[in-house]
Amino acid sequence: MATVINTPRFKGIQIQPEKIFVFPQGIIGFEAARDFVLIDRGNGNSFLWLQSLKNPDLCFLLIEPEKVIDAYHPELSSQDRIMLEASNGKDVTFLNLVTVDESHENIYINLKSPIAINSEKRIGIQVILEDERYPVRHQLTTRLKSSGNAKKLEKSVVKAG
Amino acid sequence: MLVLSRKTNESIMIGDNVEIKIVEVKGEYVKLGITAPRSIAVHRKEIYEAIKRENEEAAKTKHVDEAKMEEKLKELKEKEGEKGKEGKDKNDKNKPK
Repeated sequence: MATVINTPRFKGIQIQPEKIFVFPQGIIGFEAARDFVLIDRGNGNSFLWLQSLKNPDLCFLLIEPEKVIDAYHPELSSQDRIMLEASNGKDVTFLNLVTVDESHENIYINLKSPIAINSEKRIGIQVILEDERYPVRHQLTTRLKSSGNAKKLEKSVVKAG
Repeated sequence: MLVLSRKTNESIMIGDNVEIKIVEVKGEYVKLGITAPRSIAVHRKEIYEAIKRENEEAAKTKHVDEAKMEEKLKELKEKEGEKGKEGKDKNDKNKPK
């Protein structure tokens, strides 16, 4: 049975239960928010939304790293893998949180602590990478790559075009 | 703050399901072993604080204009495309993916 959500950004969107992701630790700073859905506007949109089910005002903008940067190789710790119930890491997809100012002139992505999701088990966590090369705030400038990997997320997202 | 003294290999229990053990003491460094249930995240404080701050910024999405974002991304990609064309003659290292 589908739930319908009504948030400032998404009105009357049907959420199939199999699309709901459980974040057993919530998100850092928002630990009480445990159930989320990934929403895709479609139309070849580059961004995805991570919407909290419990809190309609809590909603994050995400992007697949492959769409905007090269040479990003997040590595899961064994703890992370246990949390995600992903023994080999193959079912895991990484998404980065996007921050943008009012002017939309500066777009930043968080490379240090991406969201990691296990699409099969519907589990998500925010991991903190050990790699010192990855900043918490990386500005998107002209060093972009245009390919993407939208296909692998298709069954995990709710379409809300 | 509760302050306790422990020796190497001694532990502290927090509630009934979190344990912190002193694994090793080496000069200024104390190595801690932490056992906690899956629902509790364990992080170094300064990292946790930095990420929490950034997440709070990221959660401010009321003002996000999706069309503007796509436009911005497109602009950045186009700039990248132009840069690529300029460098093409000097730099023939393009490898197929």
